[in-house]
Amino acid sequence: MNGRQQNILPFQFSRFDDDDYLLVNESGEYIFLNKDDFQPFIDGKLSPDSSTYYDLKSKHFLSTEHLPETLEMVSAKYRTRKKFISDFTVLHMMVITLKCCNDCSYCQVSAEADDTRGYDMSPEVARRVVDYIFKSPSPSIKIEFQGGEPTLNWETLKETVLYAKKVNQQFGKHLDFVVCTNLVKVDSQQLNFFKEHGIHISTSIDGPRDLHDKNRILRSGGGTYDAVIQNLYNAFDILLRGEVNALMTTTVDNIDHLQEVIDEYVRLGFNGIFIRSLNPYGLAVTNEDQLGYTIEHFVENFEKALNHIIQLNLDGTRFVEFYTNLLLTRILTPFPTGFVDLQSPAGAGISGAIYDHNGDVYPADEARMLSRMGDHSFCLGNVFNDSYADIFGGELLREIVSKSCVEVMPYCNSCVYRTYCGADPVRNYLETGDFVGKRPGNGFCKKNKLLFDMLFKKLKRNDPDEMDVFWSWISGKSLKEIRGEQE
Amino acid sequence: MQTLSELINIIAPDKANITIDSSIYDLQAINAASYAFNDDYYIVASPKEGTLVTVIFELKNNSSNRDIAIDIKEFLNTVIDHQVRLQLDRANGKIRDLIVSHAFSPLDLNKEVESL
Repeated sequence: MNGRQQNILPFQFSRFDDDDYLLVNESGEYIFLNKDDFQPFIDGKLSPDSSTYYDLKSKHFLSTEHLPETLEMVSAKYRTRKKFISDFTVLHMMVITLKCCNDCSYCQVSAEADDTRGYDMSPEVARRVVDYIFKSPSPSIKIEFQGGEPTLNWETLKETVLYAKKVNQQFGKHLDFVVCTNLVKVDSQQLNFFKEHGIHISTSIDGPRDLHDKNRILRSGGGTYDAVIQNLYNAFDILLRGEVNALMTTTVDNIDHLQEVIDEYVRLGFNGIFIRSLNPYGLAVTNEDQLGYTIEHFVENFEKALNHIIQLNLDGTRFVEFYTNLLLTRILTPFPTGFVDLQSPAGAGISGAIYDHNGDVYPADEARMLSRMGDHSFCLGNVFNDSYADIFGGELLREIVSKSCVEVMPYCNSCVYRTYCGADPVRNYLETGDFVGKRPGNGFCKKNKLLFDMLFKKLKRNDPDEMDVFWSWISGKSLKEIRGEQE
Repeated sequence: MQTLSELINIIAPDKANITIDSSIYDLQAINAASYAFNDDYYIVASPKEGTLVTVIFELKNNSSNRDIAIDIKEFLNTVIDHQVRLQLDRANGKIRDLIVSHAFSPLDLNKEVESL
């Protein structure tokens, strides 16, 4: 091969704004090219004297005499981005009960009343699930208790933690626990158990009282805000602040009030928020007419909320929008982010798995929700009837993985954002009846594409204040450290 | 000089077609572009004489606000983008395969590059 030859390295591109192209390559580097530079570049006629030529070369879009060395670097970055594949399987979600005292209007799992029988995971099933969890080769294991309201099956929750710790004495893995609780009835005794065993809390808060109580209501009637906040403060007293996190769900009731939701999170002492859209499962589908909004409306308000958060940071309050941080980490660094909902191949089964109360295993929470809606297509097996190899090495999971690689999926394969994006085979199946799905019209694609567009506009603008805030989030450093100022 | 609009054959507000020379634009590029538009349109590519291909568009929803002439112009730009992608893939598709292979398995890159 001629050492002086200009080798154009692989990349995806898209027209961006009126006069520019956005290019993203396999190592995740991006560059904006004016159309006057794009054509000469792809024709191999870009002048070696231009600054664009050197930008393209330094970002591995172009190589001349050092192709093997360049490919070595690109491969290393590619391997780093795909590191999650070798962490098979980190996140294990256990649905230890379907009972719940809440009757949230967007409940994705179609929870049962708290006095219903037959929806609790027994300690025997839980121990069997733990045995399967520890067959995962991953050196890190996170067990997440879900429901319903998992604290309503306290005996199994407690037994699972104690048994998992005992089993782990043999394996020595890094072991974490998270309880996803509505915090309505969690008492000090339970919180002290969480403290003793290093268990984190993930709860749900949809904003100040009037917004939260629109949808997060008790089965017995009335809002849950007061009970949640009282128990949240109790949790803050007993656990470390960083061990208690909250998620919000965007509905038609709070979508135009996201600033109020953010201010509530700041007031409560949280260090960030995940602005999460509705997922099309369970009651969120049944009640879509009362809860839903367009993707465009969501992204427009997401951007306004993000701008509000950026200003908060610039005014001295460190506060992170977690989804933005995740996407920016993918765009601006080669490091994997471990977010199972946006990976290629999809994280379903290989990064996360969920165990239903009866021991059935699903590749994702949404797959189990689909099962609650009557479709068991994603059931990988049962911990009493099937071996670990059958469940996690079986045909079904292999098919899910092979059909969820955006690199070869129709439309995704030529998308400029595919290096940073992922697939959701469960949602694809729900919408189209097959794992591959149909884009660009589906909600998952539309939402992420619009969010990437919005973020890349910000990156292109390269506002020094905004970029400092973004880098402070990505690096975990303070804004002052990023700016080289004294603390 | 012929304009783009003159090339687009509008049959009705919801029906139109355009003829493309597949010796200039690959069928693969035409198909990839069609896929991106099939949420709003029923589309079929039909062979004409020689290397010419007629792409027929029918709007799915008559009551939508879409302008079929503008959408076909956008379709043509999308065909060009896919043609560029094909051109690039022919030039460096093997390099892409090498990057992925090397990321997941030990390879002698010098040797592999020599064989390109």
